[in-house]
Amino acid sequence: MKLLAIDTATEACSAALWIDRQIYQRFTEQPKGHGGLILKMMEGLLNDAQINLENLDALTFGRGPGAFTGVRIATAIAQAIGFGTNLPVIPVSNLAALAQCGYRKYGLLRAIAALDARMGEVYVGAYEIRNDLANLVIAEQVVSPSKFTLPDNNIWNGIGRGWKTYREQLETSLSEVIFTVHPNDLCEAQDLLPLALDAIKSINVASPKNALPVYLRNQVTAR
Amino acid sequence: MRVLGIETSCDETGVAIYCSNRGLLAQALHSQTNVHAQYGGVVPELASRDHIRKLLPLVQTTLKQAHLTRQELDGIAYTSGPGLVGALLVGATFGRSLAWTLGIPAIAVHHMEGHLLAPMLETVKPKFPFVALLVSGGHTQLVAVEKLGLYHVLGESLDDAAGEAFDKTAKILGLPYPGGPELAKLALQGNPKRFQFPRPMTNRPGLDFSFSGLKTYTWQTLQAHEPADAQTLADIACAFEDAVIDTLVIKCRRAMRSTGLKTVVLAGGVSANQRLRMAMESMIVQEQGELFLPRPEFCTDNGAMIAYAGLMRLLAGQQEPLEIKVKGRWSLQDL
Repeated sequence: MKLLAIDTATEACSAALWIDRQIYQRFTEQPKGHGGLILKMMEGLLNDAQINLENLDALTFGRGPGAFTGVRIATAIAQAIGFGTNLPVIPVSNLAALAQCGYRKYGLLRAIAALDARMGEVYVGAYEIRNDLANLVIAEQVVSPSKFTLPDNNIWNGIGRGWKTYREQLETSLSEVIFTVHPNDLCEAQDLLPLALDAIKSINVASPKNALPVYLRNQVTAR
Repeated sequence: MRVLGIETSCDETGVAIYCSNRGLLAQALHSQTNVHAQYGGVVPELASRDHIRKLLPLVQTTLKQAHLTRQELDGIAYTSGPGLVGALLVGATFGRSLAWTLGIPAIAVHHMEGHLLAPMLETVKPKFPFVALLVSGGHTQLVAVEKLGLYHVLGESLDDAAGEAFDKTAKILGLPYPGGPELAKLALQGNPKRFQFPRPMTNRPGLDFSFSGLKTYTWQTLQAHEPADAQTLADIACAFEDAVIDTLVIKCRRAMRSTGLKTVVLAGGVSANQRLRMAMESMIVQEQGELFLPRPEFCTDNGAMIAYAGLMRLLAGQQEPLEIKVKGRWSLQDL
């Protein structure tokens, strides 16, 4: 199985390649300029592996939530490659990928993934690891950090830059249940891979037309 | 050579395929007017969101219309500026990535160059050099077009673009969005002799424009006649439209005389305005010149003009590196 993953939804810009269980990744943190980097990253990965797009089995991308423009960059690339090659395109949640990152790096089995959504809010979702995969427990939402609540009193861990900006507010509402916090981590393309590999089993045809962003914040203007 | 053109600089998603041998093979356009109507103007984030939903289906429709497969494309052109950055990024990202995927060259196109070259989509084409008057919601410019890629901006609006002034004035008059065409429709009912509005910046030398004062003048006239009846609104619309058209024609005549050029191209969304077209035609007859007017569908934003401009640049040997770049602001003279 050969899978290419891309993510441009946050300050990080990354591409990763899965070739029969081997993972190769290019990653950089840079708030702007993802458009100037991402295609070269992808080309570099393919060149290093001496394969081309036609040799892939699928493409996956971070479909959001995240920075609107960044999410659209990854989406438009995924649409174009899916259309240009007929490859299946698998959208993966950036919050799920963040929880997956927590499992890979710190062994977190229950994670509250949070991204700074600006305007005093966070994009947040709670995930449990089952069969090595992040499973959504509480729906992704955009919410004021002090208003995010959990349905149970299990112990959770925090991950993502939302915890950096709003740690105090998040801990106000969750202080009883938070064990560790990893506020510096960003989504990485390699963490999309296990989730996409799982999704591809259940998605027969992932048409590029269905590769669309998930913004969570849908009120973007005052009437 | 067959080039796919993609336009997403503002609130129209335009896609077309232009062939160097057979001309325009197919085109498709999606207008976002309904998306923005309730807000009274273009909301940039909503524009970007709509582009990413509509672009791929439009590309598929266009290829189908042209009876082509994606592998039969030889190049991809996309608008990379000027315009709304988020909106531009959708088309530029998709276009650059598709070209990379297909292993064909990509070319970034200046939106206004697309408009300048739009008359080349017609059977009877102007010959270089010519003067172009570009009037749209985002731009009002007089340009001396020496040859492909060599443009001198002779004058431009110092504040509102003509189309922007139309839309904002329409709002003052209580007309629905998009106001420009509605204002033009109302003006047809107006008495052109009742009000005389100023012709901004025509009593001094130079080819620059300014329309924001005219908008204020309209507002003041309306205030002085409140409550305005239907006829007064039509008379004000008529006076406003006359003033804008007259100003454009005066400056265009001045540009012809100062450059010695007799060929004029009128392009951009506002050039679909029938009274502007008639006034320009009559001025050109007086100046013994020749006027080229693209059909209305090529005056407003469209993918065909981008495909054509891109084809010309690809044939000239240009192409983009493996980067996605857009420019919200970009002067024609920097090309």
